[in-house]
Amino acid sequence: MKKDYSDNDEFDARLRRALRDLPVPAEFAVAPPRRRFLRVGLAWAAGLAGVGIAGGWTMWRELSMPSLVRVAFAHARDEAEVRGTHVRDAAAAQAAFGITSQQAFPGTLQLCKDCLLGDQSAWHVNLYLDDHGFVHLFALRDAPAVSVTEGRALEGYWRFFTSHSGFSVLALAENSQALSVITRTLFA
Amino acid sequence: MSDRQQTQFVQWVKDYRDFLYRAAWAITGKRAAAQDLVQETFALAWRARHQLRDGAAVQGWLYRILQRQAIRNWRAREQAENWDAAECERAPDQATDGSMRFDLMEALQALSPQHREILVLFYLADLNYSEMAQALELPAGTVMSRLNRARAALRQLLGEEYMK
Repeated sequence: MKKDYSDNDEFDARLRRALRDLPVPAEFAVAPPRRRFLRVGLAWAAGLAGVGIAGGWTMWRELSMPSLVRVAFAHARDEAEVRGTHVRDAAAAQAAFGITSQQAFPGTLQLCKDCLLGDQSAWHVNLYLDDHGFVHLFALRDAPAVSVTEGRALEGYWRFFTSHSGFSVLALAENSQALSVITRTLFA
Repeated sequence: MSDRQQTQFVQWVKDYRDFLYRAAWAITGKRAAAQDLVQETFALAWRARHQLRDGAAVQGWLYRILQRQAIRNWRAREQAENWDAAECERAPDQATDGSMRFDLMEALQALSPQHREILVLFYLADLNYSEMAQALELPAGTVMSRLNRARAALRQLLGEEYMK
């Protein structure tokens, strides 16, 4: 290695010798770093377990969801772009949701339509709530037999309500707060 | 650790263990602390080995790791002088009166950390200014001027007696 300086005097040479002659203990052995595979393996195992638990939880959630909810999510997806009022009797539809003629739906009404969810006949209302996004409401003409009344699916949150007029209403929303708003304004 | 990695690690230890130990001793002033520091340095270097660019000076790189670890240890023990503070000398006044006698280690410990680290590198490693600048992460001009000041300070601390 080429040095671009030289010992300028005996002082430097002496110090250099002194430092380079510092004794290194013979028993001083440097151990190689411990194998990390155990740590890495544990991290991987923990990661895989986490993924497994999350996957299992998601699968359980999806499987435990009533089939009617699954059908409703698919229906909402199909009619997400449909706008307007397409019911023979708008007052009856509104009444099914427990809204009187003097009242209005919360948010902006996007869609009001008769529909079929599997073999269930329902009124379908799509609302847009500022800050909370879209909410699909299905007022079911026949009360469904479901053991679970609310939950979370891959596509969003769902909850069953009973309207003031006694209809079972299924609400779907991407945002859980949207369901809270609907609960407060329509079903409280 | 694969055989090839094991071989590389052993080679590093073989080539630089003594240099790092002496540097650590000179920096810390304590042999036990020096051993710990060298062990930590090799462990850190091994973990960071992918950061070492091909052809880079391993010695300077290891010294930089050692020096940083020394600072960390200092701070952890709350014994630190302010390493980042402006360069300052400790006890030169005591040394000039001729009544103080410092041996080399004591004198190094009496220097500011910046002066100590540059002197240790200068006297222990066969590095040119550019390599020292790289190891200390300083401009070459700063290395030259700091080295001159450090040598002068050390000379003052050790006194003329040291030359006899």
